[in-house]
Amino acid sequence: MEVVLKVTPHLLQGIYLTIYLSIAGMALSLGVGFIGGMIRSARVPLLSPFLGAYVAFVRGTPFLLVIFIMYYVLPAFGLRLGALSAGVLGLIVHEGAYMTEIVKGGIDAVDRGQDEAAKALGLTYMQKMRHVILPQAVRLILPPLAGQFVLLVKATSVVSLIGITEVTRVGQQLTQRGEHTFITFGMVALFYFLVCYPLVKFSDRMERRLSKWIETV
Amino acid sequence: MITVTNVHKWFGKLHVLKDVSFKVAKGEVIVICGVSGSGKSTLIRCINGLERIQGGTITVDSMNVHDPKTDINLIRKEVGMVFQSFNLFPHMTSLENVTLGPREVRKIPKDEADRMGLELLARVGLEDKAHSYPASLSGGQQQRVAIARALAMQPKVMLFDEPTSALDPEMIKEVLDVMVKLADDGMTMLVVTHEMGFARKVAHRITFIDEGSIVEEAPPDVFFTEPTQERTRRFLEQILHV
Ligand SMILES: Nc1ncnc2c1ncn2[C@@H]1O[C@H](COP(=O)(O)OP(=O)(O)O)[C@@H](O)[C@H]1O
Ligand SMILES: [Mg+2]
Repeated sequence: MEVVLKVTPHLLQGIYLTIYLSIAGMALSLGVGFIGGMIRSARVPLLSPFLGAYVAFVRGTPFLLVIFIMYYVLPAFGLRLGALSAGVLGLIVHEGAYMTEIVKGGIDAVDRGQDEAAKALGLTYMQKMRHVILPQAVRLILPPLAGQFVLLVKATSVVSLIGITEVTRVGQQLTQRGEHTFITFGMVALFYFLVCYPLVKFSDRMERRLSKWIETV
Repeated sequence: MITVTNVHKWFGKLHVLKDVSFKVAKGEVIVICGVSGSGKSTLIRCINGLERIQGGTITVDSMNVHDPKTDINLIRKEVGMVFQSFNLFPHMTSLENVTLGPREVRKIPKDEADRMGLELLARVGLEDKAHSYPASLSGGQQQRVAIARALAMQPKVMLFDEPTSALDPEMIKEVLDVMVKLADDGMTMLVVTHEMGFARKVAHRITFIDEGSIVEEAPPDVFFTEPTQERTRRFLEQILHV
């Protein structure tokens, strides 16, 4: 109990950074995903193939390497980022690619007749996306999106390797200073579980609701 | 209203429309028929620019549909389309389906769009279903909502692509009745259908398409009793079961 009280304030500081990285990463990579997914599924010349190459690159690159590129390689091109900015940018680049694929998949899964009916009404591309395609695509992609958020939260632990003291790094430091290993890492694990489990549950529930929704359409 | 002049359409190597020409004047009801795969859907989809053409010209209300300088949405505002599979927006109620176009494209305020939408739903006999979602409607009801949705844009022309082919037999009549009423009100209509009773009742001309070409074009009485082409005769025997 004593140990718990002693490490908690330190862990809370790490938790703060982990949550910061997670929320910034989610919001911004989701933005990348929606724009990227819309462009990918619209088959825009040059832009769509370029995004395809980006997605392929990220899929074939370890996340840690993406982080190292942001932190150690970009300065060679004149872009010197602080560790936190490099970490967030790495998360956006990495997760944005997966979100792009998820959003593209959702848009492509909406029945083609919806697209035609929207066009036949005279809706512009943006009106069609906003009112007809995306509301249906979002329902389809909520489960994989929640699953991807779980991966993102866990991926934030990797950015500790460029010196960001998020919660996993704090735990490591505490144990190196002689704090109880089991209790300290146990508390770190509990934190991740408390964040991720509701997301997993939410994802499962949406999946079930979704299959019902599809049945009735 | 619509002129189609020497139109050619290929899907890759497949020559789907071969030198198709015809005209639809204001207030005319034209029925298009032909066997499956003959190019009927493709033809009417070219008229509102859902498909590109590779030769010839199509004009709607004197606007060239396939001219890159034409704003295709100006044409689509004037051309209503009804699909075989309804294609209602499943996440919207009937009324929302009907008012989306007017509100977004014509920028009509919500209360006015709702009022007009309810009137239209009443016109197709579905005012009591205004707040129902498509999934809770029968096929015939869905197709009537789809007709109301197209009419809500106050189009000058209505295109129908086999509007009753996906319906159970007992629902065909309720949809055809709406279409007959529309024809009687003077709407310009281009209807792909095999409902020959409908054709006989309201069509000014029937056009028979085979393998991407117009084979025969005649008023109903002539079309049914004295078709000039052997292919038309064979087709009529098939669909009239005689
Ligand atoms: N998007 C498409 N890509 C390739 N071929 C198509 C496409 N749409 C239709 N076709 C082909 O064009 C021909 C005419 O199709 P369609 O216009 O749908 O005929 P109909 O409506 O008279 O049954 C058919 O052979 C069909 O397979
Ligand atoms: Mg067809």
